[in-house]
Amino acid sequence: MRILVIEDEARIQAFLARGLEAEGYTVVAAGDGREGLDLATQARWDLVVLDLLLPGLNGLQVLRELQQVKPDLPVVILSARGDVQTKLRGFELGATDYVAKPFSLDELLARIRVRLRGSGAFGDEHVMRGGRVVLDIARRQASVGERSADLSDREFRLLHHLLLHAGEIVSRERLLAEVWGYDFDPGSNVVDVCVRRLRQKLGPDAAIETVRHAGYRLAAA
Amino acid sequence: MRDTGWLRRNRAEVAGGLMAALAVAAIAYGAEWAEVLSVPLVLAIFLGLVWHGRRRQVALAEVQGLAEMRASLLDRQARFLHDASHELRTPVTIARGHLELLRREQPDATELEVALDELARMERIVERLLLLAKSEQQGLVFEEIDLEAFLSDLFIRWSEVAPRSWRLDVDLAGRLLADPEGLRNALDALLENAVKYTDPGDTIALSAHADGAGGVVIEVSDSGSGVSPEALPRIFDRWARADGARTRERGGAGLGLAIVAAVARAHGGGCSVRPLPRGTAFRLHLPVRVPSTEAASPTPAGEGELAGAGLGPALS
Repeated sequence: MRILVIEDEARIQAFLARGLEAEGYTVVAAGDGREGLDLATQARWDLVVLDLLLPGLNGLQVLRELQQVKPDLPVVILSARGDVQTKLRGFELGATDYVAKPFSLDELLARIRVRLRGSGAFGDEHVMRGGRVVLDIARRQASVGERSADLSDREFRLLHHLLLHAGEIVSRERLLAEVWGYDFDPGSNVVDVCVRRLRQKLGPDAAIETVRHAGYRLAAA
Repeated sequence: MRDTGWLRRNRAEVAGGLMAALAVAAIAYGAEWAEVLSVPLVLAIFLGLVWHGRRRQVALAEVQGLAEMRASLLDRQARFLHDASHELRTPVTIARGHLELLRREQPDATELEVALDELARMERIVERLLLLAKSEQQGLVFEEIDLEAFLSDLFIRWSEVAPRSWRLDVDLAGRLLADPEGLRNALDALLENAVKYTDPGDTIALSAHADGAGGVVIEVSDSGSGVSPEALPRIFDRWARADGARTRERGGAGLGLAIVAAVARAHGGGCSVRPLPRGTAFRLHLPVRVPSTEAASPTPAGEGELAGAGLGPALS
């Protein structure tokens, strides 16, 4: 797997390259936008990590031109946190993912892994089904018919648990213990909030039933 | 103002002209000395008025200048905050990246954990300083957010952080005009605060209800150790620390409540705190709810329509 890192800050470039190489990728780095774009268009890459603040040609320009030549090449953008406009612009221009600075190397590597999986090296899609719900374990994505949604950590675990026990009634107490690791607490409604959010994300076809005074049940078929 | 200005500039001519006119009149009509004597008196009064007007103008200009100076000072301060926190990001990113590389090689080194933990704390401070600067410079970006979904996501995320008795109650459907990043930071600060001053088993409740005037009140209440009455009045000040009983200070919390106040202000709202019999309740008031004309508000694929549709049971 070949990754191109376009980043002008030498020390960021250095740890990115080392981190990615440790994961088994082949890494080439470019220090400015023009050089980066040339490299990106001329050689074969599996993914590009692109900083937005670059000398020469800025990151968004690089992205725009790159998309015209290689629209399928995944691009992960690095940029200052919270700049919503730039982020939106990046996605409009076809960026695959966006990681805000200061970022965690572990997080960036995890995201790159997800983006590259499916194109070979990390294949092995793992999927769970129950009723009409399909849960992609690695992507933490659930889908029901045409509709799919990214799940937060707890939503994922909760749905996972319901799927493991599809067709059975699972009590709130058990969900609180299994998903949150908390003791039973009649005052808290965290399980209910999480189920409600899952229903919102997945739509009525997800068929997570409330069983009065007992808990929840995901229809098995 | 323009009149006095003209008079001021032409004072000598006006005074001379007046005096000459009076003298001519006195001679021509053979006025008595007494009447002629009143001429310098009238003139003195007139000059007094002009002098007064001029002084007023100078004073006004001074006040105006001071106000402008203060505004530009505040503006510069905000810009400095913004630039400084922005500049801090790169070194923090570099340090963190290299430490994480090391951690991959030495997963058990507690020194690395401490360093990474402190860096994370610094990141939070930087982020908060930036947000403070942004909200003071009207730099927030407002958009329509689905309040219930927004609060649920925030709530679920926080429920992972600490074993507390977490409760969410949202008494209104619909959308809110807000800067999501700013609002998230403000609520994070309130929830972080609540976690800090409670123990496992205590209750932390997040709730939202209509304010009766088209806005929303979001409240974070806890059943923790509470705030001392002396600390209450200054609690939203920058770097204000609660009293000695609440000693352990983590992650830029000294800025947390200042963020809450700044974000509330930037939304045209406000914030308040009140002690509970056991614990504390913080309120964030945001005055702009989007009128719930569902057809008019474009909602992202299947989100809004479901939020208000009463799917499943109400929160029990």
